[in-house]
Amino acid sequence: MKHRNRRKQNIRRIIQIGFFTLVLLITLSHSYSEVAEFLPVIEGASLHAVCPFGGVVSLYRYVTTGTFVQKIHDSSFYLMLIVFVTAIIAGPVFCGWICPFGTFQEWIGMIGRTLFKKRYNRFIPSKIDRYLRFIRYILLIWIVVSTALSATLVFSSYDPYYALFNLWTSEVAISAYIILAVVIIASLFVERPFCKYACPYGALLGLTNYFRIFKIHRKAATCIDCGKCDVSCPMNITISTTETVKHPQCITCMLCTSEYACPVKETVYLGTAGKETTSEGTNE
Amino acid sequence: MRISSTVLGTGVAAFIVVAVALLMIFGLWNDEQSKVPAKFTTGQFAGLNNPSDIRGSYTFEDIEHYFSVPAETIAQAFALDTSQKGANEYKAKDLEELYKDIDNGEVGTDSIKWFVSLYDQVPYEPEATTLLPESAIRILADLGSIDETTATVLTARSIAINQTYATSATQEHDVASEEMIIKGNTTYSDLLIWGLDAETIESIVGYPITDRTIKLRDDFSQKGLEFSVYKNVLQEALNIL
Repeated sequence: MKHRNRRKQNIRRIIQIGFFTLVLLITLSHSYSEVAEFLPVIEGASLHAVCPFGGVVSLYRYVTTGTFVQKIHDSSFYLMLIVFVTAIIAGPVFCGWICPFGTFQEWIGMIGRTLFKKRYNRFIPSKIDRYLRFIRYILLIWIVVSTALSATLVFSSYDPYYALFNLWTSEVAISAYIILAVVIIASLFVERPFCKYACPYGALLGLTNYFRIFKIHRKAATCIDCGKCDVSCPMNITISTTETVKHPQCITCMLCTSEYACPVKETVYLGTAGKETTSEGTNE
Repeated sequence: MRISSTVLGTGVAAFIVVAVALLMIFGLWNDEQSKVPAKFTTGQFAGLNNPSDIRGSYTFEDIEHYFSVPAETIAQAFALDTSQKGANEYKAKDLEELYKDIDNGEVGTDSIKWFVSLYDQVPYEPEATTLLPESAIRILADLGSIDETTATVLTARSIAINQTYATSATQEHDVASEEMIIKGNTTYSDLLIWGLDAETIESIVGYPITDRTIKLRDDFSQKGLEFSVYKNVLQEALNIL
């Protein structure tokens, strides 16, 4: 069983590495023509061009003037729609499987997990954590409104994701570097700190957890209350007391399911509501 | 209905890749700036391209295309060396790197927006810290795009070009600097870098140097001077250094 789980974990890691590498190559090719020569398909694209959140912040301008916010392109808009379709089907699966910045935080988190063992990702008291998680909604509103009013990418000066993939350029604001450093340090103590507390796109995608077609379900009849699903969740969601995970911070990473953490077969799974999950509990 | 993590992961990854591939195939995928600037929507300038929408990625050629400001004029206004890189190849954001050592303000994309708005005589409000090179103000005044009062106001927010020419010129003319031989692409900056002082140059050519980054050949041609004659005199002056 352990061998099978490790193999499945590898699939997620391979996909994460694949998209991280793709975005890295895109940004490198944008800066260095030598890289672009090897990858003509992605030549010329910037990081903004392949960020679906760019489509979100550009929506207002697109509707009112028919143009995009500076540095945003058709590609951002289409990616926004593509990711939104995946979110309606299975929630913020983009966050858990695709987002290169989430992947980067997980990699830093591996160091933290090694250093702090079971204490890792358990440093922030739940009372404080609960309120901190509202920050990302405030940021989402601020960014969308500010971008609509100014028609510029106001968040790029603070965006650690942009800073990470533009370390070698002179286009990054010092504030973004500082925030990136804070995220890296925080990732040693908390799993995916930016996703939990600051990611505006995650805040938006997380709302789809309320109505997505495929949800994480826990079959109470076979659950042995071992709590392994709770421990495994990178977003610190309590799964063991609910039957259907609707928490807006679930990133559909599947680590809590019977394929990984849950020791009982077909007890925690991603699926549509079946006979086993008639109760619509939530853990909020 | 249940989905395994393998199906979910590979399915989502494949969906994204296939969707993007289809968009590319049907010509809908555009990951580069269309470079069509926004237009003024109201007032007497309605329908004209708005300089405030000039982006850092715009080349001077793009600006020439959309705002009818010649790329050469922009390069001249911002004292850019066009001997190694054509004026139409420069991007608005290049100024930020070339003028990075300025302490009392900024010369960058916003300066281009400002210059273009003054050139086209359309409204634009620059950032408080934005500066224009003196050469830009001189060009605008020569063209009659600005009156004397405006020129005086602009001068207060100007920067002397000799503060910047060294940065850009030395970067672009390393080869020429080593040879100390006047060629078709030699600029006044090269002569100055090689050690010929401005007074000597001006006494030879017979007029003050207004743009140190212009090619000697181009400048002589504009002034009606024979390049080969004055080149030799300047070369002799260089040889005795």
